[in-house]
Amino acid sequence: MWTVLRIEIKKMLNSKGFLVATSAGIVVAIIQFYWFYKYTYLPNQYLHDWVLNADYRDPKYANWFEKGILEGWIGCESYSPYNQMFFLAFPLLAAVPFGVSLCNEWRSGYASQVIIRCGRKRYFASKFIAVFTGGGMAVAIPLLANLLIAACFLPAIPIDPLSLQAGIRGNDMFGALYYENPVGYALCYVGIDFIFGGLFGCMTLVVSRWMNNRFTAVCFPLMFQCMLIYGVDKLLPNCRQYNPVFYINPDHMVFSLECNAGLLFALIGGLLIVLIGLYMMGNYKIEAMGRR
Amino acid sequence: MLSERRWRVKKRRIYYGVALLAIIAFLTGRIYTVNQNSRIPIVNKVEQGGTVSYRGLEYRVKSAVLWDYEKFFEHHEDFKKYELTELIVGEVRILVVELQVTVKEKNAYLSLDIPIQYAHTCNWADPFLAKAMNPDVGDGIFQSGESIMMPYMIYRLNLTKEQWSQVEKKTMEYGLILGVYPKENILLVNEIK
Repeated sequence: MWTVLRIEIKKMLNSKGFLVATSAGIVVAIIQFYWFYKYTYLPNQYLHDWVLNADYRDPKYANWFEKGILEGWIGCESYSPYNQMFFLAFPLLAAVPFGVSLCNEWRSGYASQVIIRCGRKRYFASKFIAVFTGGGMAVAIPLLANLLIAACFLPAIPIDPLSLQAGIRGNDMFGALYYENPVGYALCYVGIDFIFGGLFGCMTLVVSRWMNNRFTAVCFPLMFQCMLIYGVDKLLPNCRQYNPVFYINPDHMVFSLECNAGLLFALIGGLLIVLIGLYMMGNYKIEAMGRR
Repeated sequence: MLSERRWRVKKRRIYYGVALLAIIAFLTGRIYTVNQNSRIPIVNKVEQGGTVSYRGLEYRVKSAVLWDYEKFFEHHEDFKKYELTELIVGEVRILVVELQVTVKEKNAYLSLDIPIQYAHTCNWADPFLAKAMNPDVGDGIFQSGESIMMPYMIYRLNLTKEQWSQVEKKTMEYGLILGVYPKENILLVNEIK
């Protein structure tokens, strides 16, 4: 199992898809921080000198806030369009690395060769884990890179609620972490997004069993997310807390007291079980030479 | 003896390793410097009854009373027109803070824009109710030594269950914020009637 898994992970890391998706994510992360630096960070530095010299009647007197790391991190920075851009493209970034590899390998005959040598279970399980890891890494690496860039300019201090720059309320999910340990909050969300990235990657893997067109399979998670955001949420606006895609963005799109980590992990578990079930169903008793 | 090819691979690995270490050292140094030089304000917390100087004035919390939203307006018929009827019963409290303001400097300036902070949240006094409760006071207009009543709405929606129970038991610690930089003055409000 470990040998097959190691080979699959190596293949995933060396694939063009992984390189393209990760690079695209990193480019967005760099552009976002440049935008933040130019339009938010620098003006705030100029304001600092102004505030220090303001007189009692100046509305800005004694009213200045140091920008914290979360204010510049792509996950929580909502002044620029890059947060929305990144999280809209999130399923696509996760699907591109290795999602259609199983489909390609069936077509080329590689899958048949591996199955004959190591067995079906090992191959399919390794493929699933590699696709999950690839999808997760493709979204987590840009988020981490952006966090690192932000840390080079912004101190790891929490956002002052008085600055009115916080997108999260104290009673939201992980709200206490947001206000007390900003780096912990960011890392926690990188972990959550890694899992969601993995799930979206696996979604491509699962649907590629039934779709002959690889482009459709890669776009499926994006369509699925759009359906959940623009379709299901419009139909059932009061059930937002049960909609998994609203948990992906660290700058919460969910405003409900009922959201909590337990519900989030239940949703992740549910999605994972459904995907594994469909994956097993799709590949049940496929003969090594029998597909397409 | 290593073959030439293996030696080249090894040399490349060493270069990559050194480059990686240099990058890590640079990033660590940079992050350390940024955090060491962050401009965090000096926090000056003052217990209820103590005084804080801000904008040439001296502020002191004389008293604080927490009301049920509905009972407040039943008790203060004059302010009935400021009651928001669409709010859910039991979901809002009003904390009325009595502040004594004394002039200390010639160019002192009073601003009624005083926020209250508690449990990772903050809000400002209701401006219409504040104006009604202090008809003779406005930004920059007041008498030295005068008391100002500041009504703050506390919404259950912004708090967790535990925090709301602290509000109801009057054990929640509030802080009136008078300036945030370079010195953050916090007038604590913790003796609530």
